[in-house]
Amino acid sequence: MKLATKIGLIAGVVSIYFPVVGITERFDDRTIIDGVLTLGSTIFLVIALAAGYVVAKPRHLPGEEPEPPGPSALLYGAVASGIAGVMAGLFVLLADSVDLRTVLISVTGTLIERLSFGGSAGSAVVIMAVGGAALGALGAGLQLISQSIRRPLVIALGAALLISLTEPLLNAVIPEVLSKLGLKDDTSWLYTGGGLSVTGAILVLVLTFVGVFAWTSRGERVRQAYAGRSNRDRRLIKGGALLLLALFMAYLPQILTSFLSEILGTVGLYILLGLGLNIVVGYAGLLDLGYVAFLAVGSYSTALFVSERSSLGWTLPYWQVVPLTIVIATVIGIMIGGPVLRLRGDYLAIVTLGFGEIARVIVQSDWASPTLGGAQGILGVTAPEVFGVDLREPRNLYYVILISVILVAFISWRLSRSRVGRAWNAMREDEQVAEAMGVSIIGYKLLAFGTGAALGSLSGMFFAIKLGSVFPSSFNLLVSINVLALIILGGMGSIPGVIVGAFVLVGLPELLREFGEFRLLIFGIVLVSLMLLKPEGLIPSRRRKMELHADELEEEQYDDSAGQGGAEPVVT
Amino acid sequence: MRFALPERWSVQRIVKILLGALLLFVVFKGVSATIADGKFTAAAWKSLITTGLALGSLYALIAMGYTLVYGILFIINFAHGEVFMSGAFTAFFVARTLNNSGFLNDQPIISIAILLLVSMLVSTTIAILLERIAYRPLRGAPRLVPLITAIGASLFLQNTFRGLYGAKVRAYPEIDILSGTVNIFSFVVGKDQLLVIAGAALLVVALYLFIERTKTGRAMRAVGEDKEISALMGIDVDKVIVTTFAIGGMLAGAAGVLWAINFKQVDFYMGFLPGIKAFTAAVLGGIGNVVGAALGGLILGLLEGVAPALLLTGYDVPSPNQLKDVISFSVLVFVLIFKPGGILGSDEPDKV
Amino acid sequence: MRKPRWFSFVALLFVLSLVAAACADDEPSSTDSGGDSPTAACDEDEFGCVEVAAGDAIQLGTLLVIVGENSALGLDSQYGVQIAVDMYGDIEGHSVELVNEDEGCTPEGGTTGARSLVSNESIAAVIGTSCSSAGEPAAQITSDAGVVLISPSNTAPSLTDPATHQPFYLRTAHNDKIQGAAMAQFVGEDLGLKTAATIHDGSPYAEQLQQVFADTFTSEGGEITGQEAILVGDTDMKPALTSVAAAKPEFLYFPVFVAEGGALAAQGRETAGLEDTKFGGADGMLTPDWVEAAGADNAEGTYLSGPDLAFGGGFYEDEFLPAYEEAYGDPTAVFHAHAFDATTMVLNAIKEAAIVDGDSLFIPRTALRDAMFATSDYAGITGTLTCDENGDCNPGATISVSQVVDGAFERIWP
Repeated sequence: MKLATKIGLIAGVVSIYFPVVGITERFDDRTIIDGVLTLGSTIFLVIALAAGYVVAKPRHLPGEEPEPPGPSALLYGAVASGIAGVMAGLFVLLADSVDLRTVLISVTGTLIERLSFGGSAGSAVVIMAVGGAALGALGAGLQLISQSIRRPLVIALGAALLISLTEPLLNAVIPEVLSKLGLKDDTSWLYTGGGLSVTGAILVLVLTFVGVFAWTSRGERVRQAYAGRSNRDRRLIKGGALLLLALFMAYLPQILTSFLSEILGTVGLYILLGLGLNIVVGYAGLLDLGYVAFLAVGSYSTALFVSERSSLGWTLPYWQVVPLTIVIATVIGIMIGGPVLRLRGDYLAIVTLGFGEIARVIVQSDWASPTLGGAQGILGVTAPEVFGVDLREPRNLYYVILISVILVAFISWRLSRSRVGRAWNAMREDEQVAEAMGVSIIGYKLLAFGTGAALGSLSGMFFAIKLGSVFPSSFNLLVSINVLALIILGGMGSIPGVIVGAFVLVGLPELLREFGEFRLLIFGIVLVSLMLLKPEGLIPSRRRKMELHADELEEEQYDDSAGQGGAEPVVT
Repeated sequence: MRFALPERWSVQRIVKILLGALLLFVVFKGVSATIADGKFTAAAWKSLITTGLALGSLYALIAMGYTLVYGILFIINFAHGEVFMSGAFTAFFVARTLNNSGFLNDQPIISIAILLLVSMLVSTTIAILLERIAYRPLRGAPRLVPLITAIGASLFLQNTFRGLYGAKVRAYPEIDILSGTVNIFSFVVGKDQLLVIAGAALLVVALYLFIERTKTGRAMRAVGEDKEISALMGIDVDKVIVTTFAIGGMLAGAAGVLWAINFKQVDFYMGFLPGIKAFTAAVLGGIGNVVGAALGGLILGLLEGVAPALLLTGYDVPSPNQLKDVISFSVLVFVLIFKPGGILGSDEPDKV
Repeated sequence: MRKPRWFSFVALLFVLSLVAAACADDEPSSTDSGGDSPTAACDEDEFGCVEVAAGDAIQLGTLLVIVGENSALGLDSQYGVQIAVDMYGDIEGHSVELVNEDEGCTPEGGTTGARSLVSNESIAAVIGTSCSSAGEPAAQITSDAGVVLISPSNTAPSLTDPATHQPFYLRTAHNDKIQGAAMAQFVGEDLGLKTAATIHDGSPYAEQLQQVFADTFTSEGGEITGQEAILVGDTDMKPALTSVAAAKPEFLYFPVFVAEGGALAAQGRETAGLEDTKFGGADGMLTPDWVEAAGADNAEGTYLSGPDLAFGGGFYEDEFLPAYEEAYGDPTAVFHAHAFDATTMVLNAIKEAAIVDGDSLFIPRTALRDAMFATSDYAGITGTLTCDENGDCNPGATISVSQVVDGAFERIWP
């Protein structure tokens, strides 16, 4: 009961938080299920369900068998969410009677009206308390049903939410696919009013539920069959899957609008940046908070040599600009890296942050403006033409970026497994020991820093081509943080992690542009909760996982091998 | 790629000496050219110095929070700038109410005390919550993890306060007794600047005495040395850490009001840059060291105030103040090259 | 047993890739089949026609900064566009609908937003952008696609510079060259001041304005005693202020935005050497938010330039403003009238260029552009508009100067 009260109070604070910062009102404009549910109300539903779910979760001391939750869990769940409901209701009552708007600007009349469900503020307390309690009991009820049903159910709900949120993307792509297949390009069976239609919602829920349910009951056999194959076969299957993915990515722009190709291009740009920083931070363990400096170097050197309106007064063809830019960036990277790489981790972080700021201030300054354009930037960066194909067109640029990503991913994958990669690993784990073992610390650090700089400048070049102009304001600290966050979200040192991280942190927000104001807020919540729940990232590299969960992983490996051992005789 | 050890030392040393000589030459030439130029009067220089001192004492005050937390937990509390903002921004609404009722100028001293109290209370609460929610579960995790959490928490707090109070820039009401200037050793100092410098000095000295003289202060130092042994000695490590965050928050809250009194305006973004600068100051002075942070803050403030005019005017650089961050961060880099632990820090390599 | 399965997998891959390639090749021919329009004008037009089917609405895009810190500027323009559309009524039986995109006041935002609008083929023209830095890439993208882009508030000279003008770009906003010069004239002639200093914040807008101001002021016989700069996000303005105060200028011009402008005004009042200096700014600060940020006492007496909205005719005061205030409250910026004019010009041009075919409408893109550039002596709110070949539709824009009196703006010049 004490736990229920505690969780209820926390849930109450959270459910007051969302309306007070203005999220509820803004998110109410977004439909989840047409005519039934908006995103704003979904938040409340999730909070109430989650509170009940958490309260009813079976708790046990280490070494003890968990006790299956009984029907009393329903009561606790109801109490927790009921408390949250009462708190939210009381808040509405307070906001209705006292004008909070002079201080809390988001508490508008419209908001209160919506939260009172059209009735009086007093009735809001009752509705929220009762509704909360019912939802809490429902959430707790989830703990009572068996795992094999609960998991598909939760996943199905999540899938419905995701599919509804990505409506702007899917609703542009699906008609295109349908018409390619010779079908009518009508999507009203799935989407209406900017969200899922009622039939669409039911369809998604049922299909996902059945799919996941089938996978959990049958999937084990597929996995075992895969594990039972020889190493060579497994590698082939993996390679085939990668090839398939590459083909799909190559085909993608054909069904996407130029807008979506543009977004894909942006994601690709960040993947490149992420791969570059991954070498510096993930492999070599050098915390660089000013990576944006190399993006700036790449962009500005491209603009300088390519634009007819730059201060130079002459231009170079692209095939000369590309190597020149990379060389310039590498030299700058080694020049500024050289003296500071001896510094210990946190000091290096603040110094590199300083470099990032210095880069931005200098390109903006009146002092450098005769060369670099100052506040007015450099305009007129013409896009290259490769075999008569204009790269300004996002679809074409996308292919170039895609090829670069594949190339860079391959190189950094090879690097990580080479002697250099092992030296970086040793250095990251323990510098002194690595040095004693004969690893040239400064040399390898410079190598990492230089490679990172070169890759950063490559993205900078695409950045300049994409925008056709460069302005100092594009190179702020937030870019560095964004890139760092995406490699950490995906999993440090993990190449697939970088790709997933870029899609989640760069692609998704582009699709949810109407939430612009709250983008950074959500970003912050995601970063904190990810670090608390899964510090190794979404797709961790094996090594990193070992560092963070040494004891757990050992167990898992043990289980794994036991499973394999058991399965192997059956196949061979 | 391998050099013999002694040889590398000598190469490094030669490079350092050359670099130092070049640096001294550049600075000397710039300064002498500026003074020969005579654009600024003595009064202008003095005013730049007081401005720099006022800014520097605020940096010093905020830097305390960074340095205390780092000294004990070895994490960079990136969200500390937001702790500072939260107090100042919340106190604005109190100041506005007091101003509207006329109390602010009837009883200015009591009013300032109220503002400080509110701001310190809010900042302390935020700091403690931050520790409890974002940092405590991560104790023992690799260093990058709490750093990312801190960046996330910083974004979260910034945008939460933007959602709560709005994105508008708010002007702090004027307090009549703080307008006008006084003359100290021929330096013309604004009364608000005087309050800022004196207040910050007082708080830093109080903190120093607290850490050196009290039992809690000793416990803090002990936990900074070794958590496990401290726990064995009967020190409640959790409590000490919370206390550290609370003290950092209190000082940040005080700095918030002083900042608002000095610079007259607050908004949700006001914590970000001062936070980074204060952290730079802490590193400059030698992180983990209270006196070092105070010194680093003052140096950084003076650099921002005086250096662009002093150094760059002589070189005929247009808009020298635009480049003030370039100067501050360059100084940081050079200090760390010559003294890797900061001005007052130890030069030993990482002990972890 | 193993091999066949593996082979089938490879075979499947192969087939899939073939299908993909085939589909890719198919695409051009499928779009070709859509080109059998009834009017020859569409086939002749380089960019084809916008087709509005019977019963459909004509779609206009807006690309303004409507989210985030600068949203006050973009939303104000968007409301102006909406009012123009509401007042205009139907064209040949088709209503007009808006598709709103955000440009974030950054080149990245301008690029993404412009791509998004351009990839929607039913959009006839776009009103935008708010910020010049977003306008540079957006103008290029829309011009490549043959979509007219007309901005209510881009003021950067480069956008309509003959060397760099993009063929489908126009604007109703005044060029910064006009505003900076007007302020210099006002200060030199009407205030009779001889020395001035400037401070900018590193944004393209402020840097340009202060440079034009400085050039004009010097050429009219005044003296610029100093040019300084601060950084966006700075709070300590004293060093920069002290630096310009060294020469005790009679006038200090800082055409920046709300936050930094407020800090400059507040701290400038207590900087030694600036006690008798008059302050001035531009339309980026011409909003009540700035007075609030500076504090009413510190803002008092400051001169701010902006577009002249006292247009003589009664339409603005009697019809436009009441409609605006009723729907959206007090204006938050000064470009709603420019947005209104731009939208009405676009709608007029659509009316002229459109080919009616039964109940549907065909708008040839190049013809629409030509109709826009042919606009002459159009009596708008912001003046009599005539577009030149570089897309400047308001070259004769008049700038007015307001002074802060008792916390409110009072128009004092011309």
